[in-house]
Amino acid sequence: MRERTVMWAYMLTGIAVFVLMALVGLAMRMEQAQWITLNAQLFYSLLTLHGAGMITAMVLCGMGGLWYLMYQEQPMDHGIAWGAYFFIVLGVVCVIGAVAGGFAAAWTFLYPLPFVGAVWPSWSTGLFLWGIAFVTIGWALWCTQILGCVFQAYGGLRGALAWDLVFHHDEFEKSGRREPPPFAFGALVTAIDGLLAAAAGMAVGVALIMHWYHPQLPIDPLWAKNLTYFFGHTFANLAIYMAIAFVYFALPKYTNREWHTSQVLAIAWWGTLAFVATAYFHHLYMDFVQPRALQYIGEVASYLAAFPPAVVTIFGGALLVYRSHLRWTLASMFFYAGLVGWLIGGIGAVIDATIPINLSLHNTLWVPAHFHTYLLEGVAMFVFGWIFYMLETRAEAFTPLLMRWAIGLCVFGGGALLLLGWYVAGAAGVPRRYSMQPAPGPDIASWASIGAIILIAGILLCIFEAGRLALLPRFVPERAPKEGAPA
Amino acid sequence: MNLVRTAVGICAAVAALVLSFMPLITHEVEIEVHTHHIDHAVLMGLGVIAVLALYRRGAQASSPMWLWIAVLLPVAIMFLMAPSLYSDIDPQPLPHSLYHLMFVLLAALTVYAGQRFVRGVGWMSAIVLEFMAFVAAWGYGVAPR
Repeated sequence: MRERTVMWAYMLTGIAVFVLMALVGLAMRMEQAQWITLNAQLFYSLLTLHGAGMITAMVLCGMGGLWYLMYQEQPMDHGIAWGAYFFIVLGVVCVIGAVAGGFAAAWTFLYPLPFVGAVWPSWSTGLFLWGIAFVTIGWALWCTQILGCVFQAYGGLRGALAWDLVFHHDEFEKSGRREPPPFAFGALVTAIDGLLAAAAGMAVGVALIMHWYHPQLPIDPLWAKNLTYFFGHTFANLAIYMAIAFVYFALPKYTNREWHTSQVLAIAWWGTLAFVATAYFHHLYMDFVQPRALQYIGEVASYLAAFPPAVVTIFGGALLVYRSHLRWTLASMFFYAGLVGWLIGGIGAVIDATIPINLSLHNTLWVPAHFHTYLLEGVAMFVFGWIFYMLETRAEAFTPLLMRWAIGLCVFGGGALLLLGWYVAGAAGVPRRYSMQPAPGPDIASWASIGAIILIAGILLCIFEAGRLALLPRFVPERAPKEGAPA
Repeated sequence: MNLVRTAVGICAAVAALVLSFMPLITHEVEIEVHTHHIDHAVLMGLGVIAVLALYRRGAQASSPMWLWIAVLLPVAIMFLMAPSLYSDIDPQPLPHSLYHLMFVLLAALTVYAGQRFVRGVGWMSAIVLEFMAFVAAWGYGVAPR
């Protein structure tokens, strides 16, 4: 039971931060729609908070759920999980404090922006940098623990990669050894790529903190940008590879079909391991001093990164559902919708990762369009799906049809309206990261804000429904009477 | 095989020890930050190789304390690699040599801790540590060329 406490602590904290950040996001969209007036400094502070907070919220949810799933495979030390949680929460508190102090250099904190021409006090820059450092340390603790768990559970890296299943299939089958379940690949890839990202984050983080203490310490801006995006892109990207573990585990329960580890699935995850770590170069297409070879690597890796999820996981999920007489509950609805959101967001990302197209789209709202699709209609859907799966199985109770429709219409309908606003504005060339936008930005932001309000209403309905399910008594299956016992 | 690994481990440890004391021999004081970071990364690499080659314990998990060491030491090492410290230490050959030795020992302890936590994790700790140490040479206290 203690492991459930760990999971719920991570997930509920993540959801709380998610809801808070959604409200911050709504305020920014309403400012762009010219419904309300925030001063520019406050807008950019909120932009910073929203970016850092939303990614951390989704990652926290993924960490809690995946830790719980891996615990079923191989028990782990609770103290480390709580330690990682403590560091991340401490980091979030520091970031909130920094933003309250006026820090507004965006979550990307690209050098030298946090230091040059800053209109906020120096302490808020330091607090923000320490906050990100604490989040990174918590993340590294969690990744290392998960890596140890995976190695122990499946016999080192070779076992965790299912190497023998792929290359010595017959011997593997005869040996009676157990291949890792599909969700364990998510854990392995997250742990390895997550630690690489953490290394990049800690390297640039320490350099920036030392620069904050000693402003004469030089830093190469291109170096800092590469490391910042290696950390930031990978950290955000891994959120969905953690959350997909929930779908691998829970969706088969609703389809009554097995999602087993095949050779193709294992190889696909090897690809993900390589491509997630190398795709971040697409963030530097506009940097003319970046070595050209890295730009090519960025484009190729971004394209290749799309194949494993699209061809194996999303198509595999669709096949799992096809003619399975899927039991539509709130959980299975979120899981399936999340696969669709991942696909749409992924297509938007691949379009943007194409260098000639990126020339036009890079600084437009197309960018927030694709990553909001991926996070909001992908990761968040998987997280909601997992929460409702846990609640539905606990009480053996489901959400009434009317409530499912209400939640579905608000979350998917409102979400679609919100996301469409970014896509349309991005295609029209409306710039991103501006509190005031040129036409047609404000008009589009108006109907996008309506979408955001509907979406937040849907999220509040979800919270209400989750609370209702959580208050139901735990389902206890009736035991069959023993033979010979009185009737 | 074990003999080869032992030989590699001992050679790496001896090389790390000898190279740590090079400042006593060369008396070099004006070292570029870029080169100096690489020197440290190489010294730490030797310490890492020594531990990975000589480590013999089984695959069983041990105290979670080792995980904390494996994660927190690389961060501490990055702070200790602050270029502002170099200018104070470099002119003094003995402290400079001991500074090098400290990096070797901390790197070795990081990887040992990873291996003690769960066998195999030490390899990842080594990659993380070496990645951070080498990558520092291209930007941490280094202005664009």
